[in-house]
Amino acid sequence: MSPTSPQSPLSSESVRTPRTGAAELIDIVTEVPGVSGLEPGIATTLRALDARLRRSDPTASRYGLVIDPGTGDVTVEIAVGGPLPVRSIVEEVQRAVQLAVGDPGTGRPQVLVRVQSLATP
Amino acid sequence: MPYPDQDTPDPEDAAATARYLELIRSVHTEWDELESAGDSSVQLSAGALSTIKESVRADARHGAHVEMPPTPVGPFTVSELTLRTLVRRTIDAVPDARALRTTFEYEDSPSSGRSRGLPTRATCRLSARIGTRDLPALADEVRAAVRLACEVDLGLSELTVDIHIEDLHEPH
Repeated sequence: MSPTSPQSPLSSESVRTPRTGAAELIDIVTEVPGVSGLEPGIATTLRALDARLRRSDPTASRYGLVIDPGTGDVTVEIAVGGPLPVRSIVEEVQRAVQLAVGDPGTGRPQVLVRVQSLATP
Repeated sequence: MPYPDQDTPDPEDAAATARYLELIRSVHTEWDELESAGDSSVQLSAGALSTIKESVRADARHGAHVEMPPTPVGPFTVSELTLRTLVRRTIDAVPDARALRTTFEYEDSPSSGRSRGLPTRATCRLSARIGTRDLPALADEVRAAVRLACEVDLGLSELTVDIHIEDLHEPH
């Protein structure tokens, strides 16, 4: 899957819609040290399936990671493990996502991280 | 929907989480391959239905989500399972202590739905090794460890931690 290109029909919403899709963000998130993987809850699972069934923007939703089509805000659900503090892992995830899809200087888009589980070393 | 606050160490939880993460990785790969191939049938398959069932089970395992003080970058929450795991592993790391059940009190959540506000108080029940000479000192050590873990890992700096030693166990 390719990121949304400037020539795509979505380009008219380029200010509000990140050009980096959910699939690319998953790779970015799971490369952050301390992230064990995407661990979706029922909410993002159903949103991802809903997007498929409605044939809406296919780049915006994956199990465990959803990009709001209106605001561009990102919700990501993760499992964490290892020696790093949970809070610092979360912050690194937020910075990595903002760097990929927005402008860290403005704090946009908002990145909500939901930590689903913590592996005990 | 009520969720148990039971803090029983359960190796099944970790195994179930590992299986779930592997399932999600394979589904991501499958979707990406289908989309790359131009397949428009990426819709409810047997696999998708199975994923829904697994996500419901995972949701019950995780419990409600608990708000945490935001990082400098943005908001985050942790599941009740994560909160209990952090406290349990902290207590178990204190010599002569073994975690039993921990319960929490929370501020009201501004969010609707199944979520909880900031934790205000943790009540940690634990077992002490038989022969521990100074139980109040052990309680203080556990309290300090839990407070430090919650501050460093979660940013909770004003959590009240109550300790209740309710059992004794044989040395290993």
